[in-house]
Amino acid sequence: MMTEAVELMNVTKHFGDVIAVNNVNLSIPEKEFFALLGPSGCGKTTTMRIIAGLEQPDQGTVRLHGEVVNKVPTHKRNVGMVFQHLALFPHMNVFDNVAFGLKMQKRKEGMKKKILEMLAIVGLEKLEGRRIYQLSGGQQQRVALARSLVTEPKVLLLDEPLGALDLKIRQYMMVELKNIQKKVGTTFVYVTHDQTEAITMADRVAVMKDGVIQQIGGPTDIYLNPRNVFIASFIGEAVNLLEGEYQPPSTFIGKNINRPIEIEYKPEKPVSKVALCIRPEKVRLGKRLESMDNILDGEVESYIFKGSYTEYNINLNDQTRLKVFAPNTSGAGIEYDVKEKIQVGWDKDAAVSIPLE
Amino acid sequence: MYVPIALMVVFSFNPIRSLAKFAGFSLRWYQALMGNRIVWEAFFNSLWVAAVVTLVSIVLGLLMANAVVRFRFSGKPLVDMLIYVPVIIPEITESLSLLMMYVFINFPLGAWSVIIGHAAFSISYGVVVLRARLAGFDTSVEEAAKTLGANELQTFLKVTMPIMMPGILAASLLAFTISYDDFIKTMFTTGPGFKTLPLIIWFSASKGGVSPELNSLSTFAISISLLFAFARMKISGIKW
Repeated sequence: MMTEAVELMNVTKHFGDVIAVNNVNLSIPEKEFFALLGPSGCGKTTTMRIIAGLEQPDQGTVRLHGEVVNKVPTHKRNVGMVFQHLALFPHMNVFDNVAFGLKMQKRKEGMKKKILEMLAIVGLEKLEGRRIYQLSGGQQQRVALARSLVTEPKVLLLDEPLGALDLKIRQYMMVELKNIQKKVGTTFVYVTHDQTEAITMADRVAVMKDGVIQQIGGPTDIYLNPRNVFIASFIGEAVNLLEGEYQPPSTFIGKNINRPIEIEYKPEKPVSKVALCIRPEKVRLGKRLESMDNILDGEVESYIFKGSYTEYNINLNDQTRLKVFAPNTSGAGIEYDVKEKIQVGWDKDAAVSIPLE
Repeated sequence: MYVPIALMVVFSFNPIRSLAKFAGFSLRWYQALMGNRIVWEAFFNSLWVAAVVTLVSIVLGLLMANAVVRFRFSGKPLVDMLIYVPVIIPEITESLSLLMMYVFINFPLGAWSVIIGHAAFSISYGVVVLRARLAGFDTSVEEAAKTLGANELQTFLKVTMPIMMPGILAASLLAFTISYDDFIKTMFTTGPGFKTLPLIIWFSASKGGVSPELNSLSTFAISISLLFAFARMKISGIKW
């Protein structure tokens, strides 16, 4: 049987009256890039700190590679961590920062070689003599990464490490992190509130809210099949959520929508109230649409040109609007003007039904 | 305020006893001072008392600052206030009450009673300086050290201490100067035979008025204080 790198069983943590982590169960196999995703205050950082031993759970078991570590202090867990504000040692240069872990663990043999190799992996060759404040944000990021990876930890925890970087470097570092993870083969547990980071890098994502894990799955699974309305709206750039009633076997009667909508839905238990979740890029726009499962009439209310696509707000009726991302494939740019009568359409497998209540 | 000090320094180099006229540069009184065993003894007393006081203030000050900044406990506002009180209340009141307590518990008066007296208020100064430094301290640096395999002691020695060092040095120099310069408390709490430099200066001044030896002695004492003040400014990064 393959051992799991990290296992949390029924882990709960209170801070005063607040439940930060509520009965969390997680199991992360070796070499996985795992993301803990959620809005701030959802308990993701606390969960990570419990894995590191920087917080003690009130209840539950923490296992690292099969061994229960509830009573093992942080410095004996062999868990690396990259902190949100990096927490580099300001009084040491790059080399000494990276050397710190090996020195503490009394692994001085071949230390210099290991450090220089690690600095090369993260792309910091020849900078080992620099002071921390002489480095750019992206370089400091790499030092933090090298420092925590050089000791070959069983698990590397990363707490929103890209938060302080600007967009371009962040996008670049996302690709880099993924490459480095593949190269070193360490299990990564990546905590973030940024769904793009999670979806881009992670093999699997756990979405957290109010201390509870809402859903665990691959990025595509979480994006395409959100289990509840929170996940549907938290993941992805935007989503259309229509409230209404489910009529078995395959009909959705939307509030304020004057014609039945065809859906694909196999509820686990009988439900009546559902939300229909339609991603804006899955809706087609046209003057006269044909051969689609659902076609509705509307009017362009507004649009925003976004370069590669145009975001349209379509007024279906005075209570319901639909957001549509239309790819700008033709040379024309904006194809439809405000107040123009238009049709929206989608196939039934493009929408997901989510039970309400 | 600097005029009298300047005068004193100038006249410490005057070869004659008069304060009325300056008769050329001489190190005569300094030579006399060098040969004076009592002065030397007092000087070393001042130094080692100040050193012990500094050590005690820094160690206890660090512990106290740490408790106040990093932990929440009931009665914290009270402790906060008690830390500042020794800085505010008149030294003479503090000294008198301390002497009464020494007499009450029958504590032998001498070097140690002076040290305890000095430490009692230089701890407060130490805490005030150290807590300011500690409040701006990012604790995740310590957590980072732990995730890299450092235990509590290693974390303190290799990470916390070096980062705190400017604060520790500033607090040390402050504690040292306060103890080295102190007169009132030393006067009250010392026992027979134990004298520090400020006491010697006062005793000779009270006996024979202002003498050239006294001028040179005071100049010597001041230059030591200035040295420490200078070091403190250097460490705090104040540019000249």
